[in-house]
Amino acid sequence: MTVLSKRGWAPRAALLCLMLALAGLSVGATTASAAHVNGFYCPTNPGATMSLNGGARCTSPFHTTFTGGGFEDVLTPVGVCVVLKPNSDGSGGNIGSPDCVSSGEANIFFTDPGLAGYMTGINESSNFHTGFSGVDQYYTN
Amino acid sequence: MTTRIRWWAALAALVLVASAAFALTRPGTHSSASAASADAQLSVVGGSSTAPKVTDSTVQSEVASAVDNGTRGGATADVASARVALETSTGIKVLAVPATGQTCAVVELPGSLGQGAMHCVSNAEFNTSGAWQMVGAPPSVDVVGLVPDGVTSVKVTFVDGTSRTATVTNNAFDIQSKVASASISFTTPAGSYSGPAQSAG
Repeated sequence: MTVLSKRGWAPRAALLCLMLALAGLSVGATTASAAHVNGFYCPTNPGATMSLNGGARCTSPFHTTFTGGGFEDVLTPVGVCVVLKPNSDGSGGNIGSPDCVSSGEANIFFTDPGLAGYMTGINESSNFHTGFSGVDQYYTN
Repeated sequence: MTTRIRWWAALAALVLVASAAFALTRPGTHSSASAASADAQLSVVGGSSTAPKVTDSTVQSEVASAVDNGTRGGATADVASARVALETSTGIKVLAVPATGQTCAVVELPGSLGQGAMHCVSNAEFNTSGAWQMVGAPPSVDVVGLVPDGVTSVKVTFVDGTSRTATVTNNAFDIQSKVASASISFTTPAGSYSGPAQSAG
């Protein structure tokens, strides 16, 4: 069994404390600056399969301070829309205007940070597709 | 010696954990798409353009954030070079915003929400098919965006079979309708473009 002397412990403990402090600082600094959050929805990683003709949609978690959102099929160039909706299933009247594109990413944003709802991505094609991915932006406080 | 190795292993593990925690808490880092090397044929953002620059810092900030947080991530908007290419009689502004390897058509909508919409495409894609989008839903739809240099007009056909043609100003156009759009066509110096333009119905 190895016995550590006091002289061996002290510098090692100090170094360990320093490393822990640095780790805490790096995580804490990131958290503190994350008041404006960029997140992903539908799903966390690309790969959701959805259909069809505007009937299939996926939504972000509810937030009261949305500043924007985007939606795209990153695998196949298909038509999509993105819009803020009042209901968790993506139904209900539009909050603001939907943005639709025939391929690539549709994106909306708001200069007034305080809009509540569910960021909603919609597959506008007439087929099932895989690879849908959404991004959203909101304030945490 | 064994204890010393264990200490260094523990320290290495700690550094790895700290690095991973930092990476995981960093927002908006999907894998980056490769930047297109082509230059966009978009003279409205060129040095001789007379179109007004985008000076609203809130708009600049939101556009920069939206471009950076795209589903493919990693693009940086050159908001200092952004121009207001078109302002319609209804208060819609079409902004031309260059980004790293991309061209972004940003639409500022009138109203109390301070809403904008945006579509970014690679410069190579822009030069053949433009960057445009369908904003709104019936009974108020705008097919709006940017087309490359040399395009003089844009034609949009709607789901009821009617069509409308708009003149291009500063690379920008806007066609308003009460019904959903179905397709779009225009002629670039490189050839004709025709494609779907399905708005929310």
